[in-house]
Amino acid sequence: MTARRTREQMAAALARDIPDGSYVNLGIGMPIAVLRHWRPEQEIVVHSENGILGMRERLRPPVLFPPGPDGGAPHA
Amino acid sequence: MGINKMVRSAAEALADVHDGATVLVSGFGLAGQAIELLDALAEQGARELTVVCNNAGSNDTGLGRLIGLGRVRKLIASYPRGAEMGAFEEAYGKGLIEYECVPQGTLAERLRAGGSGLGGFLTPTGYGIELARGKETRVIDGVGYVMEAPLRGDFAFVKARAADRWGNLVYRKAARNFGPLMCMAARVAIVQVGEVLPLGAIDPEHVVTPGIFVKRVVHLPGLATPAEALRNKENAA
Repeated sequence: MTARRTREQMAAALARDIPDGSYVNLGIGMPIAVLRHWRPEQEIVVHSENGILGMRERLRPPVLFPPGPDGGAPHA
Repeated sequence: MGINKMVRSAAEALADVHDGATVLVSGFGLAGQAIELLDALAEQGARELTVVCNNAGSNDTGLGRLIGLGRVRKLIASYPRGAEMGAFEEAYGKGLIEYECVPQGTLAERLRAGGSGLGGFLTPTGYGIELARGKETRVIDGVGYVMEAPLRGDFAFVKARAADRWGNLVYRKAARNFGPLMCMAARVAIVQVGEVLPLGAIDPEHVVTPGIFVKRVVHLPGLATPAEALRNKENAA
């Protein structure tokens, strides 16, 4: 029987599959977990549902002046 | 380095332009026309080209030179006549070049449709006249419209003021014209710029063409604008 992978393990595996220099259209929901697994020096340009080209990890609350909602409700 | 659109020379940037390619050429007259890329294409030698451009080039430089050399099979343009467009008039008079007349706004919107993945659009321009012949038409609320098809290119030749190595572009005033649309509508957008800026130096709010639409950037510093070149010539005379 295969061991079940956690969400973070799946996200880490997905992040490893994307080559540096890629443009990625990232779906809202579970897929955005992958954002946490790219290193800052990797130039991977994420296109998000809210129109941002170059999205990175979500801001953690509290956000006093949010730049805008992402499609998954919290702020990008 | 993750993303680097910079190439070393114009020749390298357009080495793969093939015979029969469709090339989108930005510019309103000389403003925003990528003269140096077009001159490099003349040296490269590709033939049987279809060119989409607002005009037909100026004298014996850039697009005018390509047409004069017989490299352009078909021109899709809104205004190919005028004092400096002798190369086109001569080729057309001899039946050496095909011409498709597209009103300027229709040209821009056809490129936008091509770049945005749309199947076409309805415009009142041209309804009821020769331009609409053979095209689907509709009447909506009493106004007649012509169905126009999207335009796409294998390559775009564009001139911008500055780029970073991701290919984010800013333009110079009205020289912007068709550049942003053509970068979107071409499979391979090749851009010549006078200045290369470090990544992050262009405020994201000021980026006109995002780098995702640009494949190659050539740095050609120190070139005078067409108006400056003309003034220099007049002053020298």
